[in-house]
Amino acid sequence: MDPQILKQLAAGAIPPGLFAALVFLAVWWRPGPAVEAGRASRRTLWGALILAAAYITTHFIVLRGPVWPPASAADWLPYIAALAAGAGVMAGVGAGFRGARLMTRWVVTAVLIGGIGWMSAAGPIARSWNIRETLAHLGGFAAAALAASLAAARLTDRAAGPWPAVMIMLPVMTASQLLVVVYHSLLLGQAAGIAAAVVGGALAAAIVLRVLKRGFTLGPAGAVPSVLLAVTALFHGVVYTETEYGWLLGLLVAMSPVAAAVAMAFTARAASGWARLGAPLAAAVLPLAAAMAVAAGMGEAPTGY
Amino acid sequence: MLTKLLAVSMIGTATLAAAAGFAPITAPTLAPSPAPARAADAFKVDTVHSAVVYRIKHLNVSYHYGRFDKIEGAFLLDKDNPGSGKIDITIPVESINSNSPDRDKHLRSPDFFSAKEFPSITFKSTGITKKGETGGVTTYEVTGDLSLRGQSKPVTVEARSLGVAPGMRGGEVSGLETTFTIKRSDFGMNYMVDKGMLGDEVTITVSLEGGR
Repeated sequence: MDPQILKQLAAGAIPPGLFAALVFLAVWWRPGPAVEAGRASRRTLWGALILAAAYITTHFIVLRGPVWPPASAADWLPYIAALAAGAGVMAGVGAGFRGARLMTRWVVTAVLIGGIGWMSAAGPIARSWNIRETLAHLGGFAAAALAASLAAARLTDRAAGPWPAVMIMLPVMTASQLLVVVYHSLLLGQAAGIAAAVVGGALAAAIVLRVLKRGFTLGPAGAVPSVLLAVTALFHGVVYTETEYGWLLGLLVAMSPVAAAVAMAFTARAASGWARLGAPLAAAVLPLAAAMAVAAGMGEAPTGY
Repeated sequence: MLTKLLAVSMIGTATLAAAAGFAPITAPTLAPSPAPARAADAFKVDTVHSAVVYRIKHLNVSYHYGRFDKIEGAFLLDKDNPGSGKIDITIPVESINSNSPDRDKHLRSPDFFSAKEFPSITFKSTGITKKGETGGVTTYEVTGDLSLRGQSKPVTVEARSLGVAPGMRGGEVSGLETTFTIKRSDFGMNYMVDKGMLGDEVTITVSLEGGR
């Protein structure tokens, strides 16, 4: 790949990653329980805010902005990041606050995901899609996004330390790579890349804090918006690029947290720690490996031009 | 009387045609021929003999050239009645050809043209004035709306026309050429503008040939 393009991608990933790591470290530096009364700490809500701040700032630096009214689907991405952060807060509130009913917060999340779908496809809905195409596209996206978000929340709820960040980073990072190499869009790859960088920052902070014997929980508030942003970027790839089997790659990536959450449910009571960690990790990697195999079979290579 | 009128009209037509650069009129035949073109008919763009070429700065050291392989629409430049002229062209974005299939996919992606979202580039003239005539080339100032990535901006270009001539398959052909520069960021195409990888200014040359 062209070194200038790598430089461009690094410029979009390293600053948000460093920013995320520093803020996560600052938030979790103060000693205190990562899990309070069986629920994730309210400090996890910072995850959603960090993602929104990192994404919106990087988008504006790389692409200029804000653009209002948005003229293209890409112009909607910062607003989509804000809605994704809102979905993260909903998931985090559910995990951190008592009294927030499960149905209420997931209905609000579903509405936010519907909003993201509409923002992503406002152009084709207005100009070219008929009702059937609109329902098929938005229905498919909403189902994948909601399933991935629920699974990401389940994977990170009440789970402290670096491992939840690894589980979330895998599909988000894979989405970023696929968008660059297979969907031929650095912009969309960078959208998922910023989300991956934020989770990477969380992972780095988690490792440092573990060494210093302090607690850290990524929590649903940090995990859900990252996964949602990656799935949305893949949806943009499916709709706005000419990638063959693009929908299949998107589906496989969205399946990663779902498969990991299912594996976690089955191995939650396993005696061995390796089984409790290894099975969800393997389940998360399997659909991603399948996506990479499909991509390799398509003959796309990151040779650039 | 009728013979006299016919002779005078034929001489008059031939003189006008010669002045306009037409080939001499051949004798009429009995074979069916297409309906004669009216002076106000626009020329339909002939893709095979037309071209849209762009130039953009790469890494601040060189210029990259690319083209669009398809162009559709119609135009009319009338030096005697410039105000009646019009240019209405559409360029399908999917026909971009940068001499690299991978780069073409990238150019069609949301990073640049977002071809699936905005499948065509259009130009519609809103006003045409004649600027001058030198050596058989008539220069016009054409104002119109250029629409790219769903954003429409007024642009003014200088177009040169070589006139009108008989077509190879009958009828008439005409052509025009223009070169102008736009800022892609004006149309929301901002990717890589600030990093010096790809310039903001894009110089576009449009050369049209059309028939009627």
